Amino acid sequence: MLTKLPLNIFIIIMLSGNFLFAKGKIARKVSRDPSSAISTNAACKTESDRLISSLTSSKKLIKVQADATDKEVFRLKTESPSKWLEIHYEKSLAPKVYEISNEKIIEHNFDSHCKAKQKISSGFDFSKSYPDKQMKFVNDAELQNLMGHNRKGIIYVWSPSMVYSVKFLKRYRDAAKELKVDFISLLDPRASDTDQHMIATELGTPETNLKLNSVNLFMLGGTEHFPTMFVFKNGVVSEEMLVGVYDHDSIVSKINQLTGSGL
Amino acid sequence: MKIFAGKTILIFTMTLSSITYAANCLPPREFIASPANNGGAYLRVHPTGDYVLYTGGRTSNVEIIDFTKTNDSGAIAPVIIKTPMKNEAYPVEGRWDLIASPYDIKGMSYYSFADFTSAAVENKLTVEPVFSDRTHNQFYHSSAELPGGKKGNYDFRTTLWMDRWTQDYSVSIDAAGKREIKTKGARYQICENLFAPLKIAGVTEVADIRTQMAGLSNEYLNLQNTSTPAVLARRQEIQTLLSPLQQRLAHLVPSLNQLTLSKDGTMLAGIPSNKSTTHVYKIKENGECELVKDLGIRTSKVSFSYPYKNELPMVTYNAEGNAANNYVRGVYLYDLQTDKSFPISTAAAESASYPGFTKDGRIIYKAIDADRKAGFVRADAVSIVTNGAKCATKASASTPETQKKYENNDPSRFTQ
Repeated sequence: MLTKLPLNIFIIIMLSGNFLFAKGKIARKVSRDPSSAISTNAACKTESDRLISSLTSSKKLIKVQADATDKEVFRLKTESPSKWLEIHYEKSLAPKVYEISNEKIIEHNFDSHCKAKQKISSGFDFSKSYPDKQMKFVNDAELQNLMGHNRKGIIYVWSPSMVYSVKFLKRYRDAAKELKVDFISLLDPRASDTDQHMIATELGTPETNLKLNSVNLFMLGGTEHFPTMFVFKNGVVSEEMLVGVYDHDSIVSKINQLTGSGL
Repeated sequence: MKIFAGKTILIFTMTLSSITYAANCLPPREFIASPANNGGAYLRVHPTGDYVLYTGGRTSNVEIIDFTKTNDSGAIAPVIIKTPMKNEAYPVEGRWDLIASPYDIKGMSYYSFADFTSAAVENKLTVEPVFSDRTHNQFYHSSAELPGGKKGNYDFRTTLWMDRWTQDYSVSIDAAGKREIKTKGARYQICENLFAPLKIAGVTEVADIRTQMAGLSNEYLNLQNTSTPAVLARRQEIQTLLSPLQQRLAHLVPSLNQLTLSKDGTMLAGIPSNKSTTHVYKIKENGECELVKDLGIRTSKVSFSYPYKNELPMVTYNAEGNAANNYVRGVYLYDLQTDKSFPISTAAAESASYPGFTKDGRIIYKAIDADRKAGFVRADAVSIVTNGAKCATKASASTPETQKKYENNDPSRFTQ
């Protein structure tokens, strides 16, 4: 972008950048460029939109942090809670569409003629990146079994790295007990062995041996902060979460609200 | 001709830059092995980058990691300073004169940061707070020094998570270094105009509920010193009455999760519970707020950069990975002025804490390397963002003028 500017303007920008730099600020040498234009102007847009429509009827794109500048990444639900799409847009390039599940990840690319090609790799699995033989990693199928098909309950995701999620686990468990709904606790999949052993000793609860490995909970944001509480009803997990430690009444209010609704 | 002159200046500037570069080079990313990993992800970064404040995951104890010492080979040898602080203690951002530690016996206790780094204080665990506030006391809080402070006095603001209750304070420091800290005005709910506005449907109900709850709470407090069966029964009844009111209020008024004040206390970032993305607000003089930016994505608790004179600051945070980077959690910088975000971390050292800015534009975070060993990364955002991850000159903290300002705790450094 800078190379398209007249040389004298370019020099002024460079000099002002150096000036800011010398003052210890991070020089801003990029002008305002709304990043939403990246996905709108993507190559092979028609073909990629068609592919996405064939994979899900959902239109609710959830924008997430991209791993590079001038890139946009979106998550999109499919009809199956255990499969999500990720759509990656990079400036001037054709998008990449990923189908993510515990079983496999299918990467859809588009060639220069906008013809789609597939690459299949192993599934979403924290137990490979963070192996831990003493813990059970709960994937979507196993989570479905834990939730059952006609019960209500909460899923409490917690981590030894965030002390309040450990301290207040009992508050959530008690709220679930009071409302006579199920309580499932899942541990941060990245938690270290040392921390887990300490917490298992401290709490002495059987909850400590389950770790989150669900694509659905991950995509909904279940590992971004601890604790995070989801509500489930009839085997369906709420998209709405309660993030952080709330007081008893707020927890009860949220459980009642979500279990009383269609989620 | 003008262009030629400009080129000459440019070449001269680049040459000068190269000379400084050679003399004073900061690596873009510097991994500092940690002497111990107590598991916590809650980190706040001192303006000089010489210290971080760190709440352990296994306990709620707060430690200070001191990066100023080196070993025989010249590598940084972090030293852990144990403190009596607990519960995600949070610095009063700005000059870091005070650290706010909630749920102390006396309430929110404010400790002098200098007491923990002073060689004169042998057992840092015995350090006493310089001020405590029993009323304004809760975790998930944020504190920052307000603009206009001087060497001997300054104002600061502490905002709590629950209902955004906020208290401003004034600090006077005498010649001997003794502080007098006073509350400044009554507590208020910051940004209330956005979270429980008076002119939307349902607000009458919010106001009614709050009035009822205030009445019941006052009655409960007045009954605390009596324990006859009738009073005990009424207290129990009040608790029963309060619970559904609180539940209804929680349903009607969203909370601002992961809230953080800017380094000068004039902005606030967080995730409204009725939305799913990180919002940044400007705080007006009267405590009302206006939306500055919706980042459009969910982030961790952010850390603001130190303010720019006439431009919006930057924020840094961590966020989950995606299929392209094998779901490695990363640290990012978002420039509120240009709406651009930049990756700061690499997959070689996965982010394991909230990151924070130093005054000179570096970002520090806890990280786990490929061998699953914990440490800290000091990333020079200046070189990563503007220099293509090449080693760059050390920024403002390296200039004698700025160093002097740090040593004197001179707040004018905010407006460089």
